[in-house]
Amino acid sequence: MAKFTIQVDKDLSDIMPGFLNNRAKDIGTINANIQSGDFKSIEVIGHKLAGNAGGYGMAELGLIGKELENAAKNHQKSEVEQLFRRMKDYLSNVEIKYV
Amino acid sequence: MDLRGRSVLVIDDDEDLCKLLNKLLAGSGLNVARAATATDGLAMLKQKAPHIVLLDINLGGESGLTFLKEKRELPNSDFIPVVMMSSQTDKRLLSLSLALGAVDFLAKPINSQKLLLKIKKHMRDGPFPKASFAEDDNEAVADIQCDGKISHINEVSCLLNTSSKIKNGTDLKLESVFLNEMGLGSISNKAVGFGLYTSSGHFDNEIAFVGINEEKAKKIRIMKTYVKK
Repeated sequence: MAKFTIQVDKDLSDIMPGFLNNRAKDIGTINANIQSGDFKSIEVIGHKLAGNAGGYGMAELGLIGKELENAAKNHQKSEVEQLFRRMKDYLSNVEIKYV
Repeated sequence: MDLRGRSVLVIDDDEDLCKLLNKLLAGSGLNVARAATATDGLAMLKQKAPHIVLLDINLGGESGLTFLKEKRELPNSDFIPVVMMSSQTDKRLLSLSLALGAVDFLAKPINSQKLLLKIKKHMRDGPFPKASFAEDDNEAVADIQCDGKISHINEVSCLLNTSSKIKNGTDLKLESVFLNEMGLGSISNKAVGFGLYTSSGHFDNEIAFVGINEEKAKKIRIMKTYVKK
């Protein structure tokens, strides 16, 4: 995936780094959860992403979270892995422009 | 409606979402308190009544429905509206929330404009300088300031339309230019009966003028005659 830019309200500039830092932590947690088969924890992370990412201007990440939640709920390991890759790609390539 | 100085209790276990909500709500002048669990939310509600509650349905290990059920057990807690928040679209859960006393639903991800619109729609009119719930032998107490409209008046009472249902026997202080001009500004007032729900979502409360004298009653009669003509 190539780098891409999203526009975020400048009022969120002070809380955005914390949000992205927590997503970086999610990456590590989901990776460990996939290894251990802890689908419930992945479901919880996906659910939270579905609820919060859109508010931070990352609607696509929210959709990935929603799909991740559903896949984890149904214990669909390959689907979870694919969505996890999409999540990592998104977070690796997103660039934020405060407007 | 001016939101400044009014309070909102956000009950959600998602720290990032709460930071976002805090940003949006505090930016509108609201005082924001946060609880991560239904249990903490109830404890905070008992300590200080907020003007409105934003409640997540899915609170990790707990359900927001637990909060709604427990809140119903608190006497006179109806005056605190609860707006549910969820990224789930389970209609059964939403119906259950409404049946348990929630007034509205907000879909996640939160749209800031819709959020403020719903808060303004459901927030009661005035601040609650003092509010406590019944516990042990203590009675529930709430001092409430709210806006209202006087729709009818006679020599002994008036009908006050407010967003709050006023309990029978409640002492009130009515601040009204109209009543001042009628010489009724300094008189004591007491709610009579129970407020009747109206289609506008407000309540018609009958308010008695305690100790009104003949001179003031005459003024009302003259005013009513004048208005009829």
